[in-house]
Amino acid sequence: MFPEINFKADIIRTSLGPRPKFVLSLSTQVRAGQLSWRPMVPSVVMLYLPSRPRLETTLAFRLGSIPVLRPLFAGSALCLTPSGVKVKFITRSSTLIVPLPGYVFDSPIPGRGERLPGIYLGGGWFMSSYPVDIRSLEVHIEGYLPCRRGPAPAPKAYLEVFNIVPELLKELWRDGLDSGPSQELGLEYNEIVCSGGTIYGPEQKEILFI
Amino acid sequence: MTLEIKYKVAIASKPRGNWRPECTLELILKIMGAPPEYDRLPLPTVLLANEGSLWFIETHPFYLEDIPVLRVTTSSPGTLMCRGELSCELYAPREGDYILPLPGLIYASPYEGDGYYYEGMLLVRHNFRLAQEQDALVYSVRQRVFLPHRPGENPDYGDWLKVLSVVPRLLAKLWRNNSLEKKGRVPSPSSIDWLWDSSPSFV
Repeated sequence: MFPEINFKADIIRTSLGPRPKFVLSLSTQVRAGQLSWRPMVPSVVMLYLPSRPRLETTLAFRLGSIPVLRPLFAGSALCLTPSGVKVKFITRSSTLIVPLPGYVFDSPIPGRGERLPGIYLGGGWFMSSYPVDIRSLEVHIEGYLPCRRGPAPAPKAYLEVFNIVPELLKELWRDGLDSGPSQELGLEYNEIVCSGGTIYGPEQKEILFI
Repeated sequence: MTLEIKYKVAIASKPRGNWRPECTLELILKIMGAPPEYDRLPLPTVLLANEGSLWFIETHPFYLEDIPVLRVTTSSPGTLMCRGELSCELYAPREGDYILPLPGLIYASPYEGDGYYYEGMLLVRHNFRLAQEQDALVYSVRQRVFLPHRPGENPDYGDWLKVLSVVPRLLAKLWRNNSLEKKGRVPSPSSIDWLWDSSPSFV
């Protein structure tokens, strides 16, 4: 049973600068009985593009027409958190990157701000209604699309990519479902020993569970 | 003097998903026919151990029913971090003890990703128990641990059961090797050294 996802992606014009602002918000709450298989849910942040080291990726799968990438090698990637702090995340084979049609920025003024090439989904923790796990998820990402003086992609192309985030989350919630129940096993052993040898046994029997 | 070994292992079924199956080990050791003049009796015990400084410990590997077991050949300064019923302690294995490598890590929590773990070793060691009261000649231990999560539609934990089935045989082996009659040891009821020489028996 999957929990309900509240998702909203908006592109709005602001008076701060010529770059249009985008707001991506996602929230979900796990109720009792949902996600009982404890899937691993990653953190969702924006990937930051430093000049080096270059993050080499390969195609993991496609959701509709949108490609989802995976790092080729284990390493690290710099990400920009919603609070504007750059955090280095360790990239693993489970890490996913959703590339955007073009760079987005963290500043509304052209020529300023960090270039952000995609959405980064990595790290994270198990999600379920159990006490040690994440019970709710809140993602809020704000940024600025490039202004369209040059050959910048249309805002609609960005919205299409943003809209796959909840679909991707549903896909990630399938983690752990492939691990089925194991068989019950048991063993009983009785023996009476003395220094010279065994007086009784060893009597060993496997316990059968029905 | 005889030792009665009652041993039970139960590996519970894990639910679908990222869960670890519960494994319960129950061991009851009972010394029977102990001479009343003995104030300290040899009693093998089992401890859950970490690899720790295993490389310092001189061991000789051998196979018991196709299961690899390490026999400690000399008492050395290497120690193993062990989990008792109450706390974690460092133990220096003595000559003749057995170390049983397990197929994987052992955890204290059923939640994948949570809880402290042990690196999959069982230390079967010879120990002594003060026999001040004849009623106290029963050693009982129950350990509840969790085995590592395994992917797949029907994860198999048969290898764990096979390895854990060796434990009572090692206990019996230790008893035979270390029993007082065989070593010709003489009890000394008044010596306080016996007390300090022995390891805590609550583990």
